[in-house]
Amino acid sequence: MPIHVPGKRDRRGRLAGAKRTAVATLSLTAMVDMFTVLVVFLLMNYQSTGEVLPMKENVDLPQASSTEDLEPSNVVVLGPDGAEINGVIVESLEEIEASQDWILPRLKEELIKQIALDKKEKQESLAGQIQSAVKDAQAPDRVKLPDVVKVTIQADKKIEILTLKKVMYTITEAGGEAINFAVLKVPGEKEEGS
Amino acid sequence: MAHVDDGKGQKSANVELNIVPVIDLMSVLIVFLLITAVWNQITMIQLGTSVYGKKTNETETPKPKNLEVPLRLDIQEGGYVVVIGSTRIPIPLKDGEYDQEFLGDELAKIKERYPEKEDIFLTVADELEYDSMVKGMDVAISEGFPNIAVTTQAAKGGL
Repeated sequence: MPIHVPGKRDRRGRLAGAKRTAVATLSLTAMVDMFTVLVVFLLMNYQSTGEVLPMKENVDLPQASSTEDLEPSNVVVLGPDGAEINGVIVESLEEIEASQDWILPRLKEELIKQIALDKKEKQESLAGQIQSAVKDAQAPDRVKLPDVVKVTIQADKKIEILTLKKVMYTITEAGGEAINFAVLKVPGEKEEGS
Repeated sequence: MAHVDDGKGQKSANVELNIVPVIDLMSVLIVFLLITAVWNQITMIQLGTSVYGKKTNETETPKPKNLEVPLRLDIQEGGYVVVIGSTRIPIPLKDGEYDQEFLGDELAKIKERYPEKEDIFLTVADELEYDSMVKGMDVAISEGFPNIAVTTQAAKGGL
């Protein structure tokens, strides 16, 4: 559709004394408004902690409202396929359920390896050394405690409690000191009201 | 519209601001934010390690207060049982679901009586699903008992 330049026109509808072509400028105000709203929305939803757990397709996490942000830790995935560390299934669900012993040997072995590897990496990494040096400089008299070995369990909500208890027991036996449960955050009533 | 005085005393000229760089910047920012956006926010429930050990690398574990009044939440097939000292409060299922509202009210009353108490023991029946444990933990944390310890003993005895 042609764009008509506004102005005085003759009987035939032509613009008096003007050329036929006209340069039209698009109004970008609406687009800039939309972009601004989108940027604000995305910035508000931005994950600030930087710690992200990948979602497993067949693991349906339970929901909770009173939660904390994720912390760096070793992750054990417990789903319909079994117990998984670093994407490798170390014990199948059937094996865990059938086990009379609460210690799951392969899971324990893998966890010990993983925890040892993490400790070594943390000690040797430049970031770890800098972090430690900064803490020493800030508080030279601080009591140096050994690092707590944290393990996060990412379990399906349908998993039987006995199976979970066996995994938790194995984690503790393998040297895990703090156990966290990964959940999907839902806004609680108190949070919504405030 | 911006007004520019050309200093020649002639008619003023209208100048349009060049918003192309703004749009460029916005586009790049939107693409970056969309790529890095996390739609399903996974968070965590922390077990109250202070009951047994220490919570962080920096601080020693303070001893839980009101230890002489043990608080326990039993999650059984028939519902919840809150045990505070020698008092037992059964909370049966409501329409086939765990009555989280009633549990929240009871825990809030206990919190009013013992405001410094933060630890709670959780026993869960072996045959239940993990989801029921998380729901119980969620209510306990929201009512001011963040130091949760899960016992290996199964909840038994009925309501």
